Amino acid sequence: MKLPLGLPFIVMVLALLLGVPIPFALGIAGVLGIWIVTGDWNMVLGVLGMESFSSTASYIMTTIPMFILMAHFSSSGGLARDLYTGVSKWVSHIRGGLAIATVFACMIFGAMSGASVAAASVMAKIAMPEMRRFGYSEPLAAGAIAVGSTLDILIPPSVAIVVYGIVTQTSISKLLIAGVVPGFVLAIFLILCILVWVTIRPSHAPKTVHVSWAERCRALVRIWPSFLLILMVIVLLYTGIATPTEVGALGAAASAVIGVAMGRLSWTGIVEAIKETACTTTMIFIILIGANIFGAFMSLSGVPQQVTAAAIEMGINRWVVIIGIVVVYFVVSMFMDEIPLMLLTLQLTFPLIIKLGFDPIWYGVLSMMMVSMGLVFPPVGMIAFIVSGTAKVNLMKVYQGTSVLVIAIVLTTVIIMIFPQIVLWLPSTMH
Amino acid sequence: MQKLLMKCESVLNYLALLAIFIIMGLTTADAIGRYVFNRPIGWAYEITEKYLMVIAIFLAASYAYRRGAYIRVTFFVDRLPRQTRTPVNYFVQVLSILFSLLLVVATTKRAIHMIASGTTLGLLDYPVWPGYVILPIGLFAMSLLMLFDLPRVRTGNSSLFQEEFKEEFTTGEVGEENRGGAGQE
Repeated sequence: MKLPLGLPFIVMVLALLLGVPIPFALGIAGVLGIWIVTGDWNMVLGVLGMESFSSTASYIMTTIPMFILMAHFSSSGGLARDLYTGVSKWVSHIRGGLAIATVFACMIFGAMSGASVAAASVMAKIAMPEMRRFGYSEPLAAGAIAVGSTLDILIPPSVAIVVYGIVTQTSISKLLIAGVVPGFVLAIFLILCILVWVTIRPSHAPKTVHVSWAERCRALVRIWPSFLLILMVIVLLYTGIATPTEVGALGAAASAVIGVAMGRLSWTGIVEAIKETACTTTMIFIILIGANIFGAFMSLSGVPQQVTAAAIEMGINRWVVIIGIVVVYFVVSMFMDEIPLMLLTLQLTFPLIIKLGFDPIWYGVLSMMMVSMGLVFPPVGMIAFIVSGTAKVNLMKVYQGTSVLVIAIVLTTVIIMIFPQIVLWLPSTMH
Repeated sequence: MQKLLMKCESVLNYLALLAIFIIMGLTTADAIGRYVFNRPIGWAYEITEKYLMVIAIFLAASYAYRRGAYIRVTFFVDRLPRQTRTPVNYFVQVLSILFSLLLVVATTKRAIHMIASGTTLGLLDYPVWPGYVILPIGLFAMSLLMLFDLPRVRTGNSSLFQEEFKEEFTTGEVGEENRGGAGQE
């Protein structure tokens, strides 16, 4: 008797619902699927053994731990605090200025760190007390931190973009650079949203502070190591002088050196940063292995080709397809975080998108937008959790803020869909 | 017995941390060597790829498990009544153990095959198999921890059901910032 090919999919969904860890749910469904297709246990074991090694033992994959390490060194090295203080002195005279400073600081910090989770915990620690002190409402403050942290996903270095590049075999350098302009656009929309919000409801940001020009300039002096680091990352990536992996390693080493030189990163701090990195990295790679086992089943079964063929045969407008995908992503991302979501869905959606004639880099950035939304939106949003836990704000208050400011992400997504050049222009100027 | 095993396990974890640090140092040195001194470290690439990455990932597998890093979709399970949740969690724990043991078997088979084949790295004359041997070791350590956790499922103390960020909720501790924070003022 031949079991239906749909069974592994059903098993996977059931396992996920029952709370089986995502990598195991993928792996178990994959094992079942490979067995259904081949009927050979040796083949199943062969795939498991092979995928476990090949999913990890690859030079390009090193980029992931290096970007994560850089994020942890930057966040424990105190660079973020200098940034926030520096920026807030320049905008504190505007109503909602501290929230705007948070967005700027998130954006600049995003250029030194590849993990939005790191940005969220750092900014919640630094920006929240300041905003509280000046009477900002919790929804506004927490919302600005949470949505601001998603800038980290778009602005290079970005772990999520690297994972996308690896899974879809798209140029990682180009993908990373492609995130720059959309990152700026999102930051601008976010600032506009904050300004509109505090204009309509001034009670959310009651006070403004005037700072002298001398003090403003003094604040800038402390920021220069951060700018040096950012300049190094962007220039090396854009010019292609160094590979993304090398940029990651150099960036991590440089942020550690800056932290140590400024007397803020101790030996224990370094060890802790590496521990965090090991934990996150392994988490990502175990999911990657599960996804690759499931992927092996998919390519043996030919399901993605069938889905693609069926979708094309139906003759649906390609924009309808992509809007459908965006909606589905948005719904699924309410229950799952960025990297598992991508690893779970890309094997099915990517071939379809490419067949429909969309650009892989454009789709990569679009995926990041969808992921960002999921990270801050109820009921499950990793970033919202972190902001709530770190800044000691009720989760509902965080969601109140993010559901207003998420408009910025929605607007950016729409703009990117209407004008793909926003994404594609900068990478097209690279060699 | 369990204590001794835990000691061994933490040695594996430290090796993984060391591997990450070496990857950073080696890649940096390689890049600087190539662009500044025009003398790249030829073997850095292969060592990183075939040995260090595998060590960094698989020897940290048990550590990541202990830290509750194996993400689950808890939205539905959290809504189950307690008496249904416990058997479901037992089922999930057993299923996870079985799957990791299957991975141990598969990677052991592969490692034996690689030892027998005697394949070497491209540039260096070192054998490839040590990299392959790391996999079952790390995965076995992870499976053992999961097995030790089986009796703890009932009390809800199995690491499989501890989530990193939920823990932060209750203790108010957040990873790197908390420790780095002290040095920031």
